[in-house]
Amino acid sequence: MSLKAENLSRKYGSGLLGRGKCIFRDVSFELEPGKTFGLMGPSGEGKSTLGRIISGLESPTDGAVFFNGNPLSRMKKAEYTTFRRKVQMMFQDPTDAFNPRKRIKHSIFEVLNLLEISGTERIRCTKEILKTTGLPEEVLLRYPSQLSGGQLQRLALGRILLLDPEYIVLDEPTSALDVSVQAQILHLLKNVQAEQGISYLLISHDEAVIRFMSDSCGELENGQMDLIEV
Amino acid sequence: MMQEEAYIRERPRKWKDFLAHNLNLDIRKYKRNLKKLNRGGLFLFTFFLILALFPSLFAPYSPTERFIPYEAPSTAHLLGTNDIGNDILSELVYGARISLMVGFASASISTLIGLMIGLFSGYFRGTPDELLMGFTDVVLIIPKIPLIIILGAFLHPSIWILILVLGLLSWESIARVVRSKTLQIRETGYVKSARCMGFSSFHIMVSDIFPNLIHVLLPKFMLATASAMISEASLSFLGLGDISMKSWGIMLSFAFSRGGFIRDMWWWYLPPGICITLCVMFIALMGFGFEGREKENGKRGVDSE
Amino acid sequence: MNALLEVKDLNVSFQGNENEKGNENEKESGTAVFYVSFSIREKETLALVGETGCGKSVVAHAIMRLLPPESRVKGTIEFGGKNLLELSEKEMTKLRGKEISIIFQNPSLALNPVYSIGHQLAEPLRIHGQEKRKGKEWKEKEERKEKVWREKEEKNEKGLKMRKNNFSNVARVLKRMGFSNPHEYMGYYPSWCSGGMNQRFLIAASTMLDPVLIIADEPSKGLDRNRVAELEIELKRLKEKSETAILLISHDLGFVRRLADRVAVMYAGEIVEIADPSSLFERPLHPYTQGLLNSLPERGFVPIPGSSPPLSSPPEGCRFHPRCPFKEKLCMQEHPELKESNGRAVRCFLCL
Repeated sequence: MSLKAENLSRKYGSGLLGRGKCIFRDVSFELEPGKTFGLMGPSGEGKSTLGRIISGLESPTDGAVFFNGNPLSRMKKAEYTTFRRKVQMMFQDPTDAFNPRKRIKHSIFEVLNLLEISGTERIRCTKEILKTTGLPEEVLLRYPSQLSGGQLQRLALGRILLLDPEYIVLDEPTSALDVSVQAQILHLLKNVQAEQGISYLLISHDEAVIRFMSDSCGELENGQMDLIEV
Repeated sequence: MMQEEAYIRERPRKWKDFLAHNLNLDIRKYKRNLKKLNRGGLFLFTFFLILALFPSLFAPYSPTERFIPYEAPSTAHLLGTNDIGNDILSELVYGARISLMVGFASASISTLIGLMIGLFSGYFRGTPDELLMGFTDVVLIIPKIPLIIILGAFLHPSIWILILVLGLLSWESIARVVRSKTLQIRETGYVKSARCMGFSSFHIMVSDIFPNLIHVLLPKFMLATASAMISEASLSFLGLGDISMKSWGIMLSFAFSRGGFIRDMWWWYLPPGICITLCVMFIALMGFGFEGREKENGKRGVDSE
Repeated sequence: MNALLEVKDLNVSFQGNENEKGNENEKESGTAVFYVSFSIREKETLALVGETGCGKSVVAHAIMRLLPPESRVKGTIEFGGKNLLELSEKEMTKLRGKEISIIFQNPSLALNPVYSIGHQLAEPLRIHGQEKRKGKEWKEKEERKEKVWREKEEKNEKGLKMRKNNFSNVARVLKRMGFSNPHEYMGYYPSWCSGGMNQRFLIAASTMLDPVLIIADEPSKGLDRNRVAELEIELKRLKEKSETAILLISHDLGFVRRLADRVAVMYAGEIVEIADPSSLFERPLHPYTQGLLNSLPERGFVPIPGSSPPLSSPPEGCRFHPRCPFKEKLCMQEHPELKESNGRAVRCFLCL
């Protein structure tokens, strides 16, 4: 498996009218299996946009994302389905990581239905993610608004892990959390990486977080990405 | 100069105090009042609903049964009889069903269309969004009542056509609201992660976006019902209604054209008018109540900590 | 130095509403703030640190009397000889902004985009300017009148004079905040300025009437690194130049360390430790403070195990004992009191 970005550029407002403003251009990097690539830079420089492009939620104006050597834009359906399973994304705000109208249980079972897992297997999977994330079983019956940010962020990670991904794009996973919870989440992410060999693309504005987590890292500034030594 | 200014400043204060003390209209109490109104609206609306569902329980006679025409209210006929001798109270009770049905059916059609178009264009954005919203704008500028009058003149007047036309012409505002809300929800973490996990667009729309739209749709639906009832009444009054199905609007129309006004028979033309007004008001109150609740929900979402 | 604000046994509880889904822990029924006592001396910066849901914002809102109506507040908050909790709404409105003012969280949201900076900054002056009693409802009236004024401006010399007077005050304050050309900036709109500049405008707005106490509720939340640094410089300048006391509420420990004169650490609705920043950060006494400091980036993100207890059902005994690495039998049974010794106070049996 490999996930590679080549010469990505992105413009905003490049519609019929107006020439559009360039956010970043010619960004290339590759995510190594089991490693973390940190991406930092000031806010408004398009870090999150880059993350969304890598995970296929948005398309670049120029350049391409390659998954197993195939460009995302020209993928066959079966390939795209594997891509959708193997590349996941985690977002900044834990309070809207789950549908507020559904119980947590429901949100998790929804994913299991997607994977066509049912019966006893379903209960086993659910128990397993609770164990990995270190949460009590009672959270399953709660609504998202009844849980704390840290718990929700753990559950969000747990839900992603159900899909058995190879790559996770972490978009500011801890910047909405308190310091002690941030530390817990970062350790959880590290443990999961060590156990399951997932590679991360960690997007953060906090240099300390990047340095703590990453094996290699880049800084997005003025539309360019520079690789920096960790 | 100074005095004048002081006067200007003093007056609104007195006004406000007056309102607060004598009419119990303090802004701080407004929310509580709204809740009360909502509950009252719901209660009285249920009454109308029961009337519509089981008219035979309340109506003393069948609406087609004939007695002596032009009779004044008496113990036998509480609201008298009309020109062909039908009991007006029974007519009124049976009319509730028709009026409410027109309201709800056309509101359902418009809500459904608005929901689908809004959801679709808000979720997919880009070209489909521009096309659909362009279409919505075109529908928005069609003058509705004149069009319905023309349609009513060409097609033979029937309640089903009326429902269809009212439904097909009043979905734009719902579509707009749904679209803007969908655009908002689309950017939340749970929709983005659902897209990442490979859920189908249909699944996301039905199970993630739609449940979060309900509390926007419900008040909109209520208000659409109320406005459809008013449109129906005014069209019927103009003589474009379905005579075989006597709604309140048609009763008014008959009272007007068959001499109810000239003979000063208030028991003929007042009750249907009052019924329309009250029913629309109750439905609108319910809608406002739901809207207020939605605002409260929204507020709670924003101020975390 | 005498105490400017004295909070004694402040106890805030919320009545749980069954059909309402609480958005945060504080909304659930239970005691959000549990016998909190502290005092702020004149010209002192006291920081209140703690995690989300520990009740630090509730304390700030209780002081400003901005809590929702379903909350019940007990205890006393003494400010300049008056108990704030017993003041009427009118007296409180007079106090707010003039003697106590707030710096809001998000600078780009707290400024109204349709009014110019000068106009918005002059607003507190207009409202508190006259010695007449003015309620909140005056604000709206005032704004509406402002429009009329603007039209009549050329004719009505008096209005012009008043406005000029206000504006020169604004200019003075802006100059104090380090704007070299205040009259130019007063014509600007919030969207023309950077976030950092808006932040400065906001600070200027809250210091406009020279309040004795400024409450900064999470001023650094949601800002990125550069902006936090800017904010820090502004607050430092504020501390040096004016004679105000600041109640700084934050979860950002580094930020607090550089600004505060004293730090109070809150956990699950209680103050667990009060000390000056250097001794707190170098020699934390309470296990929770130690854990909190260890989870900072520069100490390698060592987390505290477990999570904060829900405010509706705090654990028996010491509230931190389920997560405490040094707990003893006593900790699980008895609730420790805040004990003071040589300038710092700790709520723990094992320390001291």
